[in-house]
Amino acid sequence: MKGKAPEDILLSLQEGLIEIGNRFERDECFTPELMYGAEIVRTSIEPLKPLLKGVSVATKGKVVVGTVYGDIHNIGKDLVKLLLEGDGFEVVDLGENVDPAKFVEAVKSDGAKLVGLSALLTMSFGAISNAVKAINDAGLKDKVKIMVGGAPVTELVREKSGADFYGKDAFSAVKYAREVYGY
Amino acid sequence: MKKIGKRRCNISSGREKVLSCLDFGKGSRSVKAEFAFWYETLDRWYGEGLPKGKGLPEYAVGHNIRSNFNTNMPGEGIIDSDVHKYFSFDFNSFSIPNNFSPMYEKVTIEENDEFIIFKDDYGITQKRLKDEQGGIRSSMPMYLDFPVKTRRDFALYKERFDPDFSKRVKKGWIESTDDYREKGFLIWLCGRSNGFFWFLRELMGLENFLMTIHDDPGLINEMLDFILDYTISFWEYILDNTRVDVVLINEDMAFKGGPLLSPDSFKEFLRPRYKKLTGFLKGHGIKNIFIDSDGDMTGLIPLLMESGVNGLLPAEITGNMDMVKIAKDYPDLRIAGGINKMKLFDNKNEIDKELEKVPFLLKRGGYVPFVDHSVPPLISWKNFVYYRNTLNKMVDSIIKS
Repeated sequence: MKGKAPEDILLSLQEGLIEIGNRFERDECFTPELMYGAEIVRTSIEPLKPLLKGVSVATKGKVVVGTVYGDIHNIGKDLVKLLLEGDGFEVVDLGENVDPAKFVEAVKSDGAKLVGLSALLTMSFGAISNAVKAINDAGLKDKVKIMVGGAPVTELVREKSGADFYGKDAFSAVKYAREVYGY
Repeated sequence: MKKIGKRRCNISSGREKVLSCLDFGKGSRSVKAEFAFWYETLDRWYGEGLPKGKGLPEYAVGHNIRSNFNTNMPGEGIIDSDVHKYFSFDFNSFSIPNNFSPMYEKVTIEENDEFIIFKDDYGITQKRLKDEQGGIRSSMPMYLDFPVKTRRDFALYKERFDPDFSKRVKKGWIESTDDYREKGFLIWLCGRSNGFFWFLRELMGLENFLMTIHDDPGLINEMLDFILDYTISFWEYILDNTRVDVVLINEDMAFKGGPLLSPDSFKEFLRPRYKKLTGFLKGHGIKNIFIDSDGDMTGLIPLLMESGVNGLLPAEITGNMDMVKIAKDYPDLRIAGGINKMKLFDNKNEIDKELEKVPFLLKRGGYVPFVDHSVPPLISWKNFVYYRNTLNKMVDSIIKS
């Protein structure tokens, strides 16, 4: 990529990641390859960051992510974060066992248009609904989209919790983030 | 068969029934069994009508309560007897301890009212939440750190495994196997981290392990060869001294989107080791070699079968896992589980729909139906009774036919 503008390098990296994601969806590559690709993109972006200051493509937008209250599992959430960052989103990671109020606070203070709720346990379904309700009760329903994902989460859980989108895997979360931010 | 009393004869027939079922026998096409329950599930059910016989000990809080098929390390597991009795489950299990731990000393790192962080005997640092009473909540922990990050870490790690297997099996346990078999218990060889994928995940953590497949495949091969050789030596020590009905290899190598590693990686790294291990087991007369893996295993089933594995337990309904299709595509595959727990939360119609596949699977044989993993507390006693009574009628009907 010698002689290329930093924003072009960034776009090429992101195109590569999307291609890996597409192959992942077609079962042509699997989780190790997806993770490896995201890690390559993430580490390649680091030295580009100082060169991208003031360039509009530097970030696609903010996404708040966290594992819901009562659940302390991070692998799925961390993979979503890795892919989102690789694709150029700024991720506000609230960690695990996140109180619904913290999601509200983060959405308000960071101005994110998208929040991702992660869960591993079937016992966490109530916590997903509580987090969605807290965000909606805070008057943020029209300002932020809510996506849910994790091993036991299904379209039915999304529907019952009132979330906007169910991500069946980490890459579908990236595609939805692109949609929300108009990419 | 030895002449034994009426009670023994009944219990003994339980083991024979399950073995006949797994052998696709006409004599007994299926058995009544479940896998496990979360503590919170049984606690809820006692309040909703499950008759309390033996109940659960106080220390059961935070534990996964075993049923017929979920038999890990004896002494660590707590076994339900009340649901077992209520639904007349067919058999009990006895598992030979199968300790692949590097035997680190357990150390508490941080503890407060909300959680505890500790390093376990596998050298894994984990965090577990507490409940309102201060007990450890049942469910999977959050893993914070793993013992192997480099080749040098692994060199030090494997030094902890010596060939004195007697300290890995409780005294008298192998000897008591014959007695349990005679009492009608199904004899298992199973335990934590005995699968290749699982072993490496516990060594390095999932992310690091999956990245190392590409970064340093030589290290992956070295670690797999080590666990293969050690497993065969350890199990030879056990199998030279007793007979086993079922081997359960723990893997958890898939999620709902499919396998966590590609079929090509399976062929390169796991298939040759599986062939060697299953060949060794078959040489000891073991007919039932099951794999325990959550997630959508559809893509790996043919590779597992050509590697000598012939059963799924518990077969989880997630992603594209279609039990009827799998049963048709792989007629020799033993299947245990296959009932989607998520369908038991709701109403009778949903439960009936979920059970529609069961008669075909029972007729095909080699199938033991039960909830596809530990029964979660979101399922009411009322719903579970309806599901289980309906299922029991189906099992009775196929036995009579």
